[in-house]
Amino acid sequence: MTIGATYIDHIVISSNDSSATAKQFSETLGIEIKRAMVRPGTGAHLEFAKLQEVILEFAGPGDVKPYDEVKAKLSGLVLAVTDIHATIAAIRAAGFSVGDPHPAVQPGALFTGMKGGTNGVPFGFIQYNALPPAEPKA
Amino acid sequence: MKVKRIDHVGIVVKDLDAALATYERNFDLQADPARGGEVTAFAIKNGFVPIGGTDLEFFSPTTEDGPVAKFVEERGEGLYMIPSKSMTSPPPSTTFAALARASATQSTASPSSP
Repeated sequence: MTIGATYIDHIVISSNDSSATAKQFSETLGIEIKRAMVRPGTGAHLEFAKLQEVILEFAGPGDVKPYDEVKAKLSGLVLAVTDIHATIAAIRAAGFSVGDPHPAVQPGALFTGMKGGTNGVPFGFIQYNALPPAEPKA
Repeated sequence: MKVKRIDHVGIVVKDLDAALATYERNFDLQADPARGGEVTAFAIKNGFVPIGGTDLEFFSPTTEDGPVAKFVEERGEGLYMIPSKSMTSPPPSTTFAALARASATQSTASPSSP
């Protein structure tokens, strides 16, 4: 059984200050931060960089509290898949717990997370072009 | 320095063979038989699982007192580093890996939707 993973879509780096973390990566490594946004619903502050096919997602709270130092961690991998429903079925058949798919921030994409991950690595899965394009507003 | 691409994602595990078997059996993600093995300089053995243009590198300690063994003991299995390739010197992997490793901790939370 296969999960149909085609590439690593993004790597999540979470911290107590995602802007500061993204800035440090940008300045140290010459990475261009392409996009910043507040996640609808949670208010989390996200910034994104892209290195060829792989996105670095810097995630942190929307309301940054005072801190002594920025603490960041590698907190998960998201794999692009061709059929997220088949992926979920395969993962569940293997005995792992995975949530139902839900719309991702990217238009038309569906996402799910593998709860608890495996070997200490939280995994998520994303399928692009999984939803029909939104109807244009009249 | 300008980082060009992520070369691989390093995942430290307690038992390399068991981890590779788990990913192959359950997820059909197969290790490249042409790469991997024991790296005595780092006291590890490793295996590479290609996914698209990036690899997952699984590695486990081969001694009880190396840095990877210490990492596993303190933090358990999990993401360890994300080596990259750069367009200029210093040598590729060095800075990014060091930065990532310094910040790497194990997490049990699911990654968020992008």
